[in-house]
Amino acid sequence: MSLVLEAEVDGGCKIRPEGELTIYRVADYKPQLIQVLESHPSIVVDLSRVTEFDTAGLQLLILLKREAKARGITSSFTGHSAEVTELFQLFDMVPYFGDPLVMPQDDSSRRASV
Amino acid sequence: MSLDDAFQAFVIESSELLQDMEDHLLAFSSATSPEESINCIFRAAHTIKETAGLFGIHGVVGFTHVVESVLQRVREGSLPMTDALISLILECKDYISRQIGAIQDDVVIMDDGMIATEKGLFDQLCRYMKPGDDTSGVCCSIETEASAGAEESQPAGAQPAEKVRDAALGNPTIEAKDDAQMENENWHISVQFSEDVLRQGMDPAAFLRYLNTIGKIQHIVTHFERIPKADEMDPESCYIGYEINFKTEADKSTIEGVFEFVRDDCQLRIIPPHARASDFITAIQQVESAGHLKLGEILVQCGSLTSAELKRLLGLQKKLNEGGEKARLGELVVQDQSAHPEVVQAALHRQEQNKHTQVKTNQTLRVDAVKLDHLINLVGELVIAGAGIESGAKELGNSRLLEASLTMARLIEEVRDSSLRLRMVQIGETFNRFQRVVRDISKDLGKQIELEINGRETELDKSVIEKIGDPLTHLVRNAMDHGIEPPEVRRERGKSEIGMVGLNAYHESGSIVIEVSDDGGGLNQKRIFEKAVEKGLVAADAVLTPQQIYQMIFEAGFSTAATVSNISGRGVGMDVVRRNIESLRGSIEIDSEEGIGTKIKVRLPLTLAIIDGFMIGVDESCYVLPLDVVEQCRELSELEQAQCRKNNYINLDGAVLPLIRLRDFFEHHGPAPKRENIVVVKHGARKTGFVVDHLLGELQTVIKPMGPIFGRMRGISGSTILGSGDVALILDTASLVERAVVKESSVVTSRRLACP
Repeated sequence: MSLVLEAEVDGGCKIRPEGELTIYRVADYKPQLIQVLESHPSIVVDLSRVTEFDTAGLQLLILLKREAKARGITSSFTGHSAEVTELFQLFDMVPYFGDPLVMPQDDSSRRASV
Repeated sequence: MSLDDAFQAFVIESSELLQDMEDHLLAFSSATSPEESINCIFRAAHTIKETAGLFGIHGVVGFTHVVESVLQRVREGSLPMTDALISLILECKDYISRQIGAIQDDVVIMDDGMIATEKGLFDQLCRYMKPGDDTSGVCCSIETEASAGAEESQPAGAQPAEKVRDAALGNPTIEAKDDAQMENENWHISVQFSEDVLRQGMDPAAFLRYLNTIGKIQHIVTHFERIPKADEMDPESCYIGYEINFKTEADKSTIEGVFEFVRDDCQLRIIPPHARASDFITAIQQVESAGHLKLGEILVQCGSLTSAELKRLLGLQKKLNEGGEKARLGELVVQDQSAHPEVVQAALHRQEQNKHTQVKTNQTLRVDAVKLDHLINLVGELVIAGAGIESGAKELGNSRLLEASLTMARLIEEVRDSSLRLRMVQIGETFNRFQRVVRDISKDLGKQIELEINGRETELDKSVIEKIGDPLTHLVRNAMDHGIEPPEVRRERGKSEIGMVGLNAYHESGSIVIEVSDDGGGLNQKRIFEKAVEKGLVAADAVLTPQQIYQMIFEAGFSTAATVSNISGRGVGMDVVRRNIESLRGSIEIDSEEGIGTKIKVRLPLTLAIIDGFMIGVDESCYVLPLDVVEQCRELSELEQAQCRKNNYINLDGAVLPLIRLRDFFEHHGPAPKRENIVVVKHGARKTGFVVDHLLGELQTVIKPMGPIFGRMRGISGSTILGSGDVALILDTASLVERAVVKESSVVTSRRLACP
């Protein structure tokens, strides 16, 4: 899968990674993400299509967030999938990203996704 | 071990501990490590208290507890160890030993004096106590600091979080050690992964999930500061680490097991919850034979440190040491937060403790004195039997037998020496006791006196050591009371105000010499002589050598002291000293110089049981001399023979050598041989020649005491049985030499008086 780029108003950019965001993909994603950062004043990452997420993916998101901030670009993450939410919580990274995220209502569904 | 035995062990152990305590107290001012000294003192008090508690002896527990509390304050550094305090603790030590001595059926039987003493000491101790400290005398070994509980009030949830954050920032907070406070606390796990972890197919998140199966992650802080700038960052590298506050019942190695697969690819630190500190300490107490274990091994055994951690730290230590730094494992462990400082401390203590006992058991072995005596007796019999075989072999002239008997004789000699050495004890312990004597007496006398001890490691027979204590005490007291002048006089004489009393011991020609010296006024020959004349001990016109004058002070009832103090001066004592020393086959010499000081030399035989002897023959009888006193043997020339019959002395190497003809002395009437021999014997500085018929050579001699009937016989100190079964008498060289010298000088003196 790849990054789906959706142009947004005001030159902003919305990206939606699909499928895996793991160690197997991060090498591909990283240059793409950096490129996005260089050419857009704001960035929104839709995580709803992420089906697999691991520490490497998390690192990449952290990098993105940090780099955006360093360049004065607003960045936000939306639509966290259950997998992403689980890992965010595991590492207690929710406060760092500061984005609202929809808590899975059903605990069992979360566990099933683990 | 029955209760009675156990109690005996307690009494013995206590007296050793108290002695230890005293030694440390006395040496405190000069101790290289005062902390260690105070620790030893504290431990001694503590151990006595604990053990007394086991036996339910509340009197001892109560009092010792108060002492311990004061010592604890010194240990913490909140109370200085002043001289006054040292004195007080010394008194307390005495009192405790009195208490233990007065125990009957679990109760300390106190007389009125003891009750008063205890109250006095108690009041004094209280002055050193912190207000509010427990002085009730009830056993309570863990003192709780009032302040430690104060931090408790924080909500339990907030505190760990803060702690984790602090740890993440690199300023760890390991604080307050109150057990109650720690109950809520959790493990702290700190992990920093190496960059390759992700590439190797491992996900740090997985470990977190796994941790949640063995416990609960209360809080986590993820480190991502290591993620480099965008262009340098390799997304496949791992830059993540985390600090976890973890609640679990699992032990450290289980937690470590979680990270087993990444063990080599991460920095893992598992810090036990505070509550565990006490568990570890308890575990450490239970580690057997910790003495030979290294610190790290103890920590591993009690579960405070895992083997992997130990390996890593040892590696680090090695690296640091190679770099020239001196790193101790204990410090590294604490720095590394792998274990609590208290746990490490406890482990160190435990190690020390075991080492201590290990050293003790290695060095000493308690053996029943009776068993030892029996062994010595048997060895004595063996010596005699060996001599019998040797003489038999000589008679038979069988060379093989002779050779075998010689080999056996050599072995017997070794057995004899080493079994005798079993009874040898260093005199140091006896000497050390005088530290206290000197300290106490100098206080009583208002003099400043220091004790200088030399030759501590000199060994002598235990039975001699036991009997030498009293005479030595007497001599030391005398030296302090009569020898050392009051400070004013010392100042006038241009001496240091601090007087010196010295104890020294060394070996000299087969005997041990114990010296008691002082740098005081010395003996006043004139005054002693006048006093002796007054007492009718000598004629007013007698001419005496200084030595003879000095010997007067050993006469019963003799005292030149102007005043009688409660320490000495009554004139009893010195004669007792002499009697005691003589009963040990020893002798006393005095060296004194007026204004400079006095030195009293007590010369004692090394052992009372077996000696290397030199056998001589007179007429049909055999006599034995201790080999060590024999200076030389030679044949008496006819000229000398004639001379000695007339004068009882000959000229030997330009000096007058008084002679004793044993033939005459022991009244042998058999026919005299054509040639006589002379054995030159040295006792102290004096030499005497014994004129004998035959020289029969060396032999090992077992001294058999003479029966009481012969007790008063002069010149004989014992007997021995020869290989042939004959009895030989052992000559008492000290008294014989004395006799010869006195006789000779009196002859000379009377001659001088006769022809002026």
